[in-house]
Amino acid sequence: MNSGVTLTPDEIVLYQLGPLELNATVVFTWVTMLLLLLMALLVRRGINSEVEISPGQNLLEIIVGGMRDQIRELAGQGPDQYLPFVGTLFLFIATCNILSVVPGYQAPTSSLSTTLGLALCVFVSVPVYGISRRGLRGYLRQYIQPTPVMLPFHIIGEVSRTIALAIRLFGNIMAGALIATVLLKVAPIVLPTVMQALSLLTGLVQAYIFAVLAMVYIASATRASRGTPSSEDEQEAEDADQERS
Amino acid sequence: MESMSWTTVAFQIFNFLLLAGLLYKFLYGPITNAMEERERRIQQRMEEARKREYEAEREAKQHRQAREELEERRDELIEQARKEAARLRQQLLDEAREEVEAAEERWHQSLREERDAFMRELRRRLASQVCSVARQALADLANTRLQAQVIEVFIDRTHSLGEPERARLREALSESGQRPRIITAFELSEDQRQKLIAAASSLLDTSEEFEFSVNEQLLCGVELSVDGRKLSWSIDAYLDSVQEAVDEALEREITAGEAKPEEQAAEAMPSTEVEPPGEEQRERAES
Repeated sequence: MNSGVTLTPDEIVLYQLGPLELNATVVFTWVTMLLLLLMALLVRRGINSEVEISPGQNLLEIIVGGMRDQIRELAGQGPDQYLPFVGTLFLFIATCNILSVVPGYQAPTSSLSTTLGLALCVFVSVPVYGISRRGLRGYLRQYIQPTPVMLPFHIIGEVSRTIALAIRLFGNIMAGALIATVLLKVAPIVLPTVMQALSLLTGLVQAYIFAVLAMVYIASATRASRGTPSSEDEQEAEDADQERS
Repeated sequence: MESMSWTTVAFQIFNFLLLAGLLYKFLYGPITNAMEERERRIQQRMEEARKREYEAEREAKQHRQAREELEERRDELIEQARKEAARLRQQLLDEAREEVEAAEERWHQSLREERDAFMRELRRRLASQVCSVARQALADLANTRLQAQVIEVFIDRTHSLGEPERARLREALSESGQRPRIITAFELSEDQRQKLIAAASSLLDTSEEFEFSVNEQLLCGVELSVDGRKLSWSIDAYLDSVQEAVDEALEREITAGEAKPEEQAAEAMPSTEVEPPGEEQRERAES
């Protein structure tokens, strides 16, 4: 990996204080966070509930409304409790990936640290949401469904899908950036631009996939246990219907 | 995994959770609230619009009903108005007719009154004219010969005079002390004077001298005057009494006419049918 190409912004250490190192990943994460916050604050200042709204509010409403619809569709229940988590996942990843076309910007999502951190968040959030929704017993029961024999497989599945989540995002973004870098060296005229455009699409798709998968995992933990639908599930479905209407 | 540091992972987890919290506070909350508020408002407006639409439909229905009712009643109202107009027209016609009749009646009345007044005046004048004509005729006829006849009549009358009248004359003579006077229309002959003196002396039972005088107004008459008391005979006296009778009769008729104008008017026919009041008097005067 010492070919002059940095695979991950973790390698760019800007400041070192003992074991704590301030690398590009963290810094660009802060930049991204600042941008998102700035946008939110700017729009929040002129926010209103009239029919005529500012373009910024309109954009954010489209994004937030789209996310809510997606969550509602996937979870089959009210989106509000999942929106901060899943929505932030999507917004953060998407913003990082889109900004990766900006020269000099190192997308934090091209660092395995970031993707693993996000995947770990999902890994933790699944039981948190599941337990808060169904109770500890109800949540744990799904690990021994349909038979206790399935318990190891469930646990392996949980862990592996979290790793897969992290690696998938990291791999895609890192690969995109790597390909762009390589192509820049091989054919620096047209091809890198096309690849960058393609990476924009890939980045958005990856953000969407990451958020959707997170939501699917959470939804599977909070919704029906596999196989036989319980009365609780029916209740949830009814709730979802009511909220939809 | 050398490209990964757990410190960075921890940083990133912290960063992500921080970002989620901040976005929840500054982005999702306000945006979601605004959207929900807008939805609620739109819902409210839709509700209001539905309500207004319902109200409008209801009012439109009411108006439609009212219009239909009005159209249904239109013919009835027109018929009613037509009847009312006809009734009013008839009433006005009646009133006008009554007014015309009243005016006509007044005109007739005034005409009748005028005619009555004219008739009365005519009768009065006719009577007066008849009297004056008779008077004139008798005046023309009067002469000494007629006077002789008159003196004869007067002398006959003194003879036929009742005792009370004689007594009153004598009494007057004795009370006065004046000479009795005999007035005639023409100068008397001596013979006539003697006859009259004889008759008057016998009447008054006196031997006093008589005074003679002439007054042409007497119209062949003879008058014996004793201290204001008079015994006379003359055509003039007759004519005066005729005149008085005619006046009295006319006065009666006028009074009766004022009391009953209608009957009077009905009776008042062309003057040819009215008997001239002077006729009778003339006969009496001639006799």
